[in-house]
Amino acid sequence: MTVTTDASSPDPALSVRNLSTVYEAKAATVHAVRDVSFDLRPMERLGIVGESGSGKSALALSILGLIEPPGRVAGGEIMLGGRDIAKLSDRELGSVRGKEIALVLQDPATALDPVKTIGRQIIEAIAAHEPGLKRSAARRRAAELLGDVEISHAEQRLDEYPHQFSGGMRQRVVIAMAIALNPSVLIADEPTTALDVTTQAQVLALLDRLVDEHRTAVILITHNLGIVSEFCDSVAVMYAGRLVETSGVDHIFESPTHPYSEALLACVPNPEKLAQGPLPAIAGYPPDLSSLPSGCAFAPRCPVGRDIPQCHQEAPQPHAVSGPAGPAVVECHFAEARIREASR
Amino acid sequence: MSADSLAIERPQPGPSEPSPRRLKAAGRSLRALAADRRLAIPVAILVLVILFALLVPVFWGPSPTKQNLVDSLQAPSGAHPMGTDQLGRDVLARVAEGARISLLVASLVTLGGALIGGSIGLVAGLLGGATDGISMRVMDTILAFPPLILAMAVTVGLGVGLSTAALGVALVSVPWYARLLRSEAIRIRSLPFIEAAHALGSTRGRIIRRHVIPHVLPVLFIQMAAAFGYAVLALAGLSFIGLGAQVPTPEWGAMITEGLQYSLTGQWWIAIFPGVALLIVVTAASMVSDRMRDLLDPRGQYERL
Repeated sequence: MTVTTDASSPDPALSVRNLSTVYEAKAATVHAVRDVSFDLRPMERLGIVGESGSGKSALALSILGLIEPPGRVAGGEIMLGGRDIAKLSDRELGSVRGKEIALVLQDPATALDPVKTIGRQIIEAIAAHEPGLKRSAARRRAAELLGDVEISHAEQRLDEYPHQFSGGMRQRVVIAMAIALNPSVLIADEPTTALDVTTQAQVLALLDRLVDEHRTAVILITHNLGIVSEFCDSVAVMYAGRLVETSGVDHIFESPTHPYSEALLACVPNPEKLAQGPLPAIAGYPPDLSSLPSGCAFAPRCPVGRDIPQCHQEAPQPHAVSGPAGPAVVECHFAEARIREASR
Repeated sequence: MSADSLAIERPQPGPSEPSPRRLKAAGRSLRALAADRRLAIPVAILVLVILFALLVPVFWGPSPTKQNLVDSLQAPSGAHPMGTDQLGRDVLARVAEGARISLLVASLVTLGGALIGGSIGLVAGLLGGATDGISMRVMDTILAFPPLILAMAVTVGLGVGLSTAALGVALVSVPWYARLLRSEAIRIRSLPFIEAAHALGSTRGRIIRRHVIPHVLPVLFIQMAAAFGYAVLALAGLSFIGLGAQVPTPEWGAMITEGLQYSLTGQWWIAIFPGVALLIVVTAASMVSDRMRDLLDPRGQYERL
């Protein structure tokens, strides 16, 4: 059911089916990820966008099996390398994480251990999967990796500490650690949010080159649609724990079909429009994930469905549509109608 | 930098001496400690006391326990630099022997307390839940007693002597280590680089060994330095009131008790010299601990990182 830009795709690198994650507190159960399914082809770059609290990070942590109590993955399959990693124990997952699927965290300032040298941390990332690795060989690999992420004088810098590196360099070190073992899937959770714009561009260009060279598929989690348009092949818009619109990257920018996607796109600051008035915003607030409305989660804020009873009563099913810029899967009762409108 | 040039072993640039890399990293923090004069002075004093304890019994003739009633209660002189006590024993030999006892037993007490208390704290902090709750309530119970009173109770309960006194002092120190390391473990456990290491496939045990323990060590060392001074003092205190080392063991506290009655009649040297030795060791240990806290406290450093 999930859309990808071409139908004749090979076996997916990662296939998520009906994944649900809940956080169970005494007072309420928060549904952070609700029945999410998608496929990631080898070397595909999928962008997952959405507001804060839409479940993007929870989705990433669920895939890696890193949800901490009181949260838990309530159900679903995560097929990676021919097996369902959702069913593995934490110990078994240890040999999957880093080796087949790796994570780059948002803030490089805290993602590195401040009391260990960069070299030891990179070697550590390798040695976690290759226990017999010789020290000198590991060090050579670490230096190569540092060189690979375009850090000069790699050999010397191995002996330096994270605080001697700039933010952009630290994030490159984190990326070096993530790609050290050639994982088939890399999840980058807002990898450039903590960096300034110039550094952001450098890190993205680097990531772009590396995932190409290592033939890695990437899930890029971000709230920055600009990054999506530059980096990604496909995009999934997340709202209230669900992927409400999944499509190729052209579709979302040309004819966003879900009203939420459209609203999100309208909120991207545009210098020309800024002069005319305040920044547009989506009215209202994201829903409380512990007491979701029975119908469409976006209905209370939706400019289309706000006053339509069907939207408030009936949860929309995924609709496969074909827009002017390619196919998409949209969870909206009016997906077909909106596509027809957009095509005109 | 190209991959080819990386394969070549390049000479270490700069003025730093070519030392093995592992040592270099560890050496950096050690050098920071070594370069600090306010730390070097108390450390030098402790080293001198250790040398005193090691060398004097070897090179100084008189036995610390052999009685020689003819020479009793002699004032300090060339033959007896610290005088002799009521039984004619050489006070210098006894103070040196007492230094051996104090330093050795206090070290064992400190190590034992740190090992047990630290382990309890780490396990409680990392596991959380019921383990945490139960072990910390036990620690609270120990803390509810005034430390010296509890150490006395343990000593009396297990039979008066130096080893039971040591056990008592060690027990009293356990909750301090446990509470300290528990809070450190909880803080470190939630730092993002732990999650990052987890996400890159490090197992729980590996993360504890490679990330958590290196982080808690500085804090542990500071606490151990402070506890060492307290252990020396508490052991002497217990011996002073007759619960620790027994005659004729030349323990500082016991020596002060013996010498006290003679200080009123003018033979001040019997009690003063062990007292001064005690003062020097305890002061130096607490100075080391204070200064180490200033230099190593990770809280100050995280702000900068």
